[in-house]
Amino acid sequence: MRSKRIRWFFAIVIFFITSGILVSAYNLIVTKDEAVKSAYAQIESNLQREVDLLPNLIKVVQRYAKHEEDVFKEITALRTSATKHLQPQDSMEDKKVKELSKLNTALKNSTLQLFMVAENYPQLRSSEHFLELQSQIEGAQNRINVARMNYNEAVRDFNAYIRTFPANIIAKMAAYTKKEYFHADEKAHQKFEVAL
Amino acid sequence: MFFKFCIGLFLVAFTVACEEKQQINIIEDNAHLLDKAPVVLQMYKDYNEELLADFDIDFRAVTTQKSQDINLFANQKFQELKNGSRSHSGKLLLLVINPKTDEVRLEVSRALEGVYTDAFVSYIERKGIVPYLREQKFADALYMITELVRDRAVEARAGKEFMPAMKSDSIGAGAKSKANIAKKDAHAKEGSNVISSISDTPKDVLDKYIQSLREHNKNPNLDIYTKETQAFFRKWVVTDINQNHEVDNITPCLSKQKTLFDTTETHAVLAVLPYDENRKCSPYFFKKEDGAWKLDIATMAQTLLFNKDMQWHFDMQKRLDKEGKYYAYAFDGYGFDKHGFAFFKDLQESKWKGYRWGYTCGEWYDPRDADKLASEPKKYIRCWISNYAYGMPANVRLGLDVQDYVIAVGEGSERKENVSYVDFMHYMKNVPSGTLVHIEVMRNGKKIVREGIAP
Repeated sequence: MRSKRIRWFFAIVIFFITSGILVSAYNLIVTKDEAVKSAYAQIESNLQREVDLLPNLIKVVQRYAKHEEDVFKEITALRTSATKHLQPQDSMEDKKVKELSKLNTALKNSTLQLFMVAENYPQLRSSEHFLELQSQIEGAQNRINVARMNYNEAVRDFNAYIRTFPANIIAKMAAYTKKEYFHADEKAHQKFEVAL
Repeated sequence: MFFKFCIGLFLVAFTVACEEKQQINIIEDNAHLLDKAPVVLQMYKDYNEELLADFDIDFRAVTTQKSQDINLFANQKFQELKNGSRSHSGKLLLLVINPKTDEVRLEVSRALEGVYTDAFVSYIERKGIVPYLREQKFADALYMITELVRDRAVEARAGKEFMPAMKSDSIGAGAKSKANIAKKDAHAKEGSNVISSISDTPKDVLDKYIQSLREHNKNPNLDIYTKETQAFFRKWVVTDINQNHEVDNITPCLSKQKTLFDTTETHAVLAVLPYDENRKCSPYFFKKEDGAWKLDIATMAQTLLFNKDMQWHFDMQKRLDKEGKYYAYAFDGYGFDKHGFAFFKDLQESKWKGYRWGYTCGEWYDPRDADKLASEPKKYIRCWISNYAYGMPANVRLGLDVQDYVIAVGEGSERKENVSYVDFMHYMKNVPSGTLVHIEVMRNGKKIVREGIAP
């Protein structure tokens, strides 16, 4: 009778310990998932900041470089598409990360193209308003870079954790899967790099 | 035993903590750019400490030769430095100068992002420090940016723009600019000439100068400048920001200025009196050259200093040097504290009222003349300055001090060596007003010359 009680006692203790480990693993997955989401939100908000600055930049450049219609049309179209992508959504699917990554590269290239246009117009290049906007856009891009590094670190941390035991079981049960890294297209960046 | 062990452990920890505090280096000069101007660098360090004390802003500077992207480098360096930050509210700034990539970047912590916006940082980099980097005046560039950072902090505090205390962190705020190191700007000293005509008063010349500042005219050879000032500006870096600041500082003083001419009308000072109640209105010096009044910025730069609140004071070592002595008359009636700040001395009620110079002599003699004293005391007894009055010409115009032993007076053929008490007093009494007084004294074992214009 007594040994049966002891067995029950150990069974309950083991149950609680196992449950504790599983619950704590689940909580940690949730925390790491939130960290990824928060880092992702930082990228989105900085992209939004960059997109918001574009109309002003176009206006200033247009004042001096009226004949660069193609560049303006391209950037305006890109801005419209970016605004759609940056609509607030609850989910953060891998597809969206890839799209955002592409959008970031496209925006970076387009603004660099605009800055290259400015190179041909000395008055524009020395306009205080243009220089102010340029510094703000570069600032937004730098923030995106920092946010991207933070995001990738959070993703690395999350992905590594859900592969460990017992988090892998919990992740599978709760439908948590590996997250997509935010890649920067460095080659495209270098191609348009100009000394301003 | 355990108690002793605990005390020992505490002392070790305390010592280590103190050493760590001393080891904090506000400059990491890995590119060896800053070792050529130790005086300016020390001024920068002092200013930096004040920035920390007044605004809790920890401002660090790093120079590097790494080929790495400056944005990334600055952010990584920031992450390294933030753990040892001296700021208690997360206010950290990091200036990076990279001569290899020819870039400069000011990284701004999250707590300061609202105050030092990207556009503002870019502006002070381009307009405030790049002109100094072009001339390879790296320490001056550091000093200048600290001054601009402080000016903005003063504005931000007045407008309650600072964010609440938070952790030191950077999300990539700030800006980078092309440094243009050693690339002299061919247009940096351009501007159309501004003429000073014979009929212009010193006030007219000042108005023309202010207009040239407003137009960012950086031509060093403007006709409104004295020849010395033209030479000074040819070597001096002038930025748009310097010029804007000067306009901002002088504008509230213009309506209060009075012109004080010397007796020969070769020098003039535009002053806002009383000096001690108008310390933000610095005096402006003018000299007549080729029959017209010219602005003497060279002497102003030599003699005047400004503290962090932009209050002017004299550099007491240089106040009466070179041309400085010709402007001393404009400060009769004022004493100077050890930092060179002028204070009004009411001489109407003092015992010195009616005196020409305002000093008293004690007696001394050379031991080699001891045996001759009894027979010819008037010849061998000499003068040492035993007292002087603040605000009187002996101090204001000649800079005489207690314990100055008078050795000689006059210049050229009129020079008198080993001057006696009687001859010195005679010289000081009879020297014509408006002429240059020349006295040689022994001060702290060194011979020095005091020169000034007789009242």
